[in-house]
Amino acid sequence: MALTDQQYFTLRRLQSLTGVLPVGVFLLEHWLTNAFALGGAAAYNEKVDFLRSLPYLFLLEIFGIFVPIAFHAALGCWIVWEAKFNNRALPLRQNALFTLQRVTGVLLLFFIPYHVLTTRFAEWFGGSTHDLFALMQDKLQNPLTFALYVAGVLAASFHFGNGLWGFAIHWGLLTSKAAQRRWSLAALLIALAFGLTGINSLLAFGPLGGLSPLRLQPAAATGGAPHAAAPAPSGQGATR
Amino acid sequence: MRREIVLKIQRQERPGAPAAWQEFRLPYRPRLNLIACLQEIARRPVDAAGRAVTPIAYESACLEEVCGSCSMRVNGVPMQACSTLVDNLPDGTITLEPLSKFPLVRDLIVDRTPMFEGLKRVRGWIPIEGTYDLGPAPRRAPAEQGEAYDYSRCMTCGCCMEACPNFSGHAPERFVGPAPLGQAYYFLLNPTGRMEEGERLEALMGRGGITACGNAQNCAAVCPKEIPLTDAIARLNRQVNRRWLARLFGG
Ligand code: HEM
Ligand code: FES
Repeated sequence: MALTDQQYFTLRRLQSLTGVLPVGVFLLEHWLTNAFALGGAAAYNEKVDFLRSLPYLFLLEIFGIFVPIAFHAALGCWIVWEAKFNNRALPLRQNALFTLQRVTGVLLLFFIPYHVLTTRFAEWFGGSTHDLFALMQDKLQNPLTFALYVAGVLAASFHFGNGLWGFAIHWGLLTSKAAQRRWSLAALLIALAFGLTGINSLLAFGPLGGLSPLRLQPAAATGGAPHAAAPAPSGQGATR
Repeated sequence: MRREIVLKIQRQERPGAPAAWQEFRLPYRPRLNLIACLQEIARRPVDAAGRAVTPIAYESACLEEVCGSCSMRVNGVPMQACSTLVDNLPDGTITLEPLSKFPLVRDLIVDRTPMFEGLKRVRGWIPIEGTYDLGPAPRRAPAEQGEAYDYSRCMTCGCCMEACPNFSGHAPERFVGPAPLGQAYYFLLNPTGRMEEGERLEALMGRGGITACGNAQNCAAVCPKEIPLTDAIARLNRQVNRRWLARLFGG
């Protein structure tokens, strides 16, 4: 496969761009949707149903999510493959972030397909996606699965937050050491915010429930919603 | 406090030969630099076990951190042996290894050709000769001169290249490395150099050019001349992107 220099540049810049647009934007949407789990089964499933009802959903899923992630990850693997990590000899902050960016990328490479296959395509394996809240609640009861999800959430949070910083440099936005240092902190704070809210949403599926600034009327969530009559396990989270 | 200096040095007779460690002990003296230690060993090439060995091959010329030839890994970190004082290193054994990213010649000597090839790739020069008198160079703003001065100090020692996780002189087509990028920026700062802006930026945009930088930022951290290589890379990013977008939407 012989690439011209111009094609090479475009591919590398698209790898960078896709990390933010559309994949990063999708991640934000995904985090927001999942945060509705804090409002209980009905609130959550209502948002899921809304997403499922989007026009051109199929095209959005293929070209807005799948293709960009696959492209970003494929080139990402090549980038990881070409790197020669030297964190032991040079234990510097930015060098550690460089390696973590790649480690979390590879982790996501395994986590994302696992996650998508067991939720979006759970039917292929005999599951039901009718009540997604119940499905998640059921899965996350297994401590091992829960730990895996925490790892996935943290990896995606760090990868996206720190990725924004790399993105800003690759696109020529941060052009001095002082600016880069300033925004590195901001990027890590974004990562932290994603990490904490992501885990909070995971907790919302469990017996304890998440910490919710949003859960305005938890009781209301059980009445009138399309999935109120869902099987036993889903009832708990909703009324917490 | 050290009472003697223990050096553990990686020996290798020729490219492809097996590498082995040898230890040397020297009486401590204050303010010794590492080249002085190697000179001492050269005077009496006997290892710590009392065996006579071949003298250690190493490079050095200026002994004042301007020629760039004495780069090696000291306790794993690339630096200049001539300006590294034993007194400034942590107590205990000091390990000396050749740079790993360049083809090995012998012992501590490597072949830094891949870096010089990289400089050629990004047109790391300014054409000042013609078939006629080109006249004096344009005047420059002092601020620009000041910025350029930082980059003019590069001595192509290769420390930044060694520290960069994305560069390897064994596969230089993957990434040209930080030193040539710093010099490309340097020559783009120069008014005469800017006349070749198009060619230089195009060279930077190719396979293994600036896009292969992953922002590990080790280069600027290890540079013995404290050249702000990461600033150069970030500013070059802005320039190549502008060119790319101009072509995409304009030309
Ligand atoms: C949730 C999914 C993902 C998101 C939101 C995401 C986002 C990002 C962002 C914003 C960047 C910064 C772009 C830049 O440095 O210019 C980035 C870089 C990177 N991503 Fe991802 N990414 C995701 C998945 C993956 C996967 C599955 C891999 C596979 C290994 C991967 C590998 C990489 C690598 C290697 C970089 C560094 C690129 C460079 O420094 O040139 N990413 N990602
Ligand atoms: S001998 Fe010239 S830099 Fe060390």
